[in-house]
Amino acid sequence: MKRLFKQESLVGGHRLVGAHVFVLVVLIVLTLRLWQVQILRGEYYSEISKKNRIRRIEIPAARGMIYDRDGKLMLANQPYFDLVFVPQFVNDTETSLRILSRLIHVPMNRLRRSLRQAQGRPAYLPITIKRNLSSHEVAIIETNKIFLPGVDILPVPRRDYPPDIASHLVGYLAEIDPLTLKKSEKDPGIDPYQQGDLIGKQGVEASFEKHLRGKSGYRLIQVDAFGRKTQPHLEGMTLPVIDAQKGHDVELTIDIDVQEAARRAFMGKQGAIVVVAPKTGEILALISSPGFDPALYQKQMSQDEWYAIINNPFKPLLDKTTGGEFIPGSVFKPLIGLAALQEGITTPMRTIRCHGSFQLGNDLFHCWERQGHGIVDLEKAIARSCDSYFYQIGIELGIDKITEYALDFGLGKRLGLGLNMERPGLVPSREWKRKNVGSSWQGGDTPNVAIGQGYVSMTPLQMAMLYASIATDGKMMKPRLLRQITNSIGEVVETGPNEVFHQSAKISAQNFKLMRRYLQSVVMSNDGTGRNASLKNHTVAGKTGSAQVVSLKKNQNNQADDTSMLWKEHAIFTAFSPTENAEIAIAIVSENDSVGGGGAQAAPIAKQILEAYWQKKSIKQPRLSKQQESPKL
Amino acid sequence: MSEHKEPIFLVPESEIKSEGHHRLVIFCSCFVLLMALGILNLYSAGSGDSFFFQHLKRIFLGLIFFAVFGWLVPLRLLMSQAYTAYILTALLLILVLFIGHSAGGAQRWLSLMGFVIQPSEFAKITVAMIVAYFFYTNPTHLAYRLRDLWLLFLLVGGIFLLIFLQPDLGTAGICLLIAVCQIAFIRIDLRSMLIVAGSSIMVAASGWLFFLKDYQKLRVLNLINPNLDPHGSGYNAIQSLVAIGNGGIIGKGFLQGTQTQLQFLPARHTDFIFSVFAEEWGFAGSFFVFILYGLLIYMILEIARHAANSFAALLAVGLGALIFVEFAINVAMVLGLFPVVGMPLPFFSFGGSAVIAMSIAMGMLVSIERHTMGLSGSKKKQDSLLSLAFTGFGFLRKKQKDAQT
Repeated sequence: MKRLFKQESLVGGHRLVGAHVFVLVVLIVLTLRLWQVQILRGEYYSEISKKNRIRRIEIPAARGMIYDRDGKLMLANQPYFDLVFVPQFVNDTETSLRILSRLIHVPMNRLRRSLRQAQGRPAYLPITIKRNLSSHEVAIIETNKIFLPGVDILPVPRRDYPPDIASHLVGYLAEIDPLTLKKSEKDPGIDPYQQGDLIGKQGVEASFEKHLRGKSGYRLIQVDAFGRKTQPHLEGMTLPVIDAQKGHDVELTIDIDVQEAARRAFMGKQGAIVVVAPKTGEILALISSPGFDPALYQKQMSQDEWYAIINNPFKPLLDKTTGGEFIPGSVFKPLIGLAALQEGITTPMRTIRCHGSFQLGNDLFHCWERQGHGIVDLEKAIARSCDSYFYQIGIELGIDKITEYALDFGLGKRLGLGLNMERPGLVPSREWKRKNVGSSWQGGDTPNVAIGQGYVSMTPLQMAMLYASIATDGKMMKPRLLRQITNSIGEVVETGPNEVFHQSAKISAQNFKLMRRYLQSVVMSNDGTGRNASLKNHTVAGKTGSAQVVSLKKNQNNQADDTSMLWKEHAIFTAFSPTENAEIAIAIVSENDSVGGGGAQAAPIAKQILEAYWQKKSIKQPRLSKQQESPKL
Repeated sequence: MSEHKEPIFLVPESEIKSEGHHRLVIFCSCFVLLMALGILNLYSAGSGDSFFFQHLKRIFLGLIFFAVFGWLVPLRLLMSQAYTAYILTALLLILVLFIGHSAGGAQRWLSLMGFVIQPSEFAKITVAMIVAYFFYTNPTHLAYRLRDLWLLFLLVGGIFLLIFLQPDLGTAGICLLIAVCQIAFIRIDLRSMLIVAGSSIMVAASGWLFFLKDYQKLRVLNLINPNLDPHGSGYNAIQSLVAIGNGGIIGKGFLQGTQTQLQFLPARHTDFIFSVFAEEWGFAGSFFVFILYGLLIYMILEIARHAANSFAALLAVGLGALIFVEFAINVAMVLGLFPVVGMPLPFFSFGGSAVIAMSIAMGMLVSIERHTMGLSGSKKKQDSLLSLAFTGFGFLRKKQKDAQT
């Protein structure tokens, strides 16, 4: 009976076969797709899934510390708190920003700009929107965190600048600019920087950036769909943590005691001080004034702070020790004297009568002593800084010889200290004038050059090195700041080598010795212009100078009273000590400070520096090794 | 699986040792296995949330409905009450439009005596019944022409329209597809078919232009490129694919799917439940589920083939179509082969009405098969109508049985 029904059944025959085929085809298609997704592209989707839930948190590396030559700490780190914004976990950017703006009193536009700069980065990477939060701000943010998904506070080790730090020497850190960032990404030699990383911008921070920087580590965490951190108990895995590697420590040749003495002595003045060790070229102190507060850069300075810096007439951002070119003035005279001695134009015996002025053709050149020095020999000409004497021997030498000897001292080119923007100074020549001024060398140009005025210019570093090379018979060492670089476990990575920068070939040792004696009388004789720098227990040789800021003609009017501060001459003093076997050479340029010339304004500063140096030496302070120094983060 | 050993089974064991027996066993085995996997998977998707236990209660309720429709409600009753069921469904659907609950932009739920039901889930079964009943009551030796079918179009169209107005395009489409699958077994005049096909395209085109909501259009467009808007409407589709792909060959293991457990997968316990399964059990587990579904559909087609009359056969086809279409569309959707439409996966997805409706459908299929085997055609069927009033009271049946023996 049942069979009968079956024959009548609708479902059968080719339609049933069709249904079977249809079901089978659909199942096969679905299975193939499943195969494709799970097996062929499984890896791909696994990766996406990992990206979904694994978040990489950068662990910033602490920068290496900076020590002085005795292992005394110059610059260390301290934890600061940064406000970061993780776009992935922010639902409503505008609202979050508005809340933040109100909480920490930062304009919305500035917050938006930080976000805009970070466009195109993975959304899970935190964007720093404010650095160095105060503890008050940290508390406010933490209390309101419930309204601020994706906003976090990140502790970061950062520079702890002591007050009165030599800002041009250590330099500053600032957020990496997009151009450098792009460049760093292309350079396979360096670890790529992240947006918002701090990079050394000046001074030692910039020079030794690759050593100081360290290597940032990272931590992987697992998050759920709402960005909440979850325990990675799934799959029984532990997520790796790569520790940050602290940057290498840099030990400088700077002597912090000398540096401090120089800073104190130079307080209230503008200009530069360079102290070097003549035999090694090690820089003992570097001061460029006025300085700036490097901490401003680290915390992102406001517009007002920025304008205050760039509108300062004394250019706080310029490192005047290596980047400031000054007319050397009388400090240039020993070079002329040495050249004249070597050429036989003058001898220690030769005398010239100084009337207070010098006639060349129609031009009248004044000696700074309007009454005249009377009869002067070379020693007296140096000690009293008689211009007339040098006008005379300068003309006899001629510009070509002067150029030749100046170049023989290694002037007119960069010394290669590798700190900030070093300038080469200028040694003028006939050819230089034709090319750059457009007129031929005039007879009247030579006497100016002979007393270090006119076209000659030198950086304070060059002045110090020039005197260092007079102290070492013409052997000019390459100036250096680096003593050694040690990595985090104390191994020495790099040491600063002693290199000869230039060896004077023309001048005999005998003449150098003679010149040193003359220079000593500048300081040690009773009528020497540099007597303010004399010490009781040590010999000091030096030379004063004044650099004219405005043209000679103007100065001839001698109306010092109606010239503004900026029109005053620079007071210059260079020295080394002791006279023979000098251990220390100094150059001081005090800008617009010429009430009484280099002898009155700059020499006392040299004296204080030298005193500090010798005092320290006499105590024979045991050298602290830097391991004993308790390391700060 | 030996369903017949359950106490609710009311005939002596020897009686069902007929030729349909193995079909019933395989069919019930597939159903129970899928249901078990579904429960297990929902536990993982919900991570022990309260709705898992809610779901367990519904499954229990569903099993009661399965038993009632399978062993108590005879086919004859289904046949005679087809229009009643239709009117009831239509009334509920109209009620939904006026006093229904809204969620997610659609008004789909109805509160009835403390239960929240989704009438559109039951409407699918009603459509299967009404189509089967229509062809059963309007037999013809020739091919059906359009004029023969106007009443059917009206009936199915009415249901479609009521659901579409909620709006719930997915469910409305399913109802239509069920009817289409059933009609596929009927001989239709070629010309009529062309007219219908032509007008369908017109309707679809005008529907796209005038009736589809923007989010529905977006879902269709997302199918073409899910990467278009990863955090908007394409987000679900992408996360679903990521979850499935993450499963690989053998899967991440029970409760170990990272996409699921870390809640990256949206709608984990409803539309995208299969992604959860695929992530945790991999290709192996998913393929096994495909085979179970395939076997289930095959058994349903076998039940239809052996059915005693055209109503039974068409009803079986309709119910099979319901399961197959929902399965195929849901899986195609989570695999990124189909737009994201609100489509539950039978036996897996969370959803009270869907569970009950699916249990009823499975029960009806058992009923059909039992009818084929002649079990419900025995003298016991006489009092079936009466006993329907007391379906909950198994003891009553037992007493009767005892009295007979």
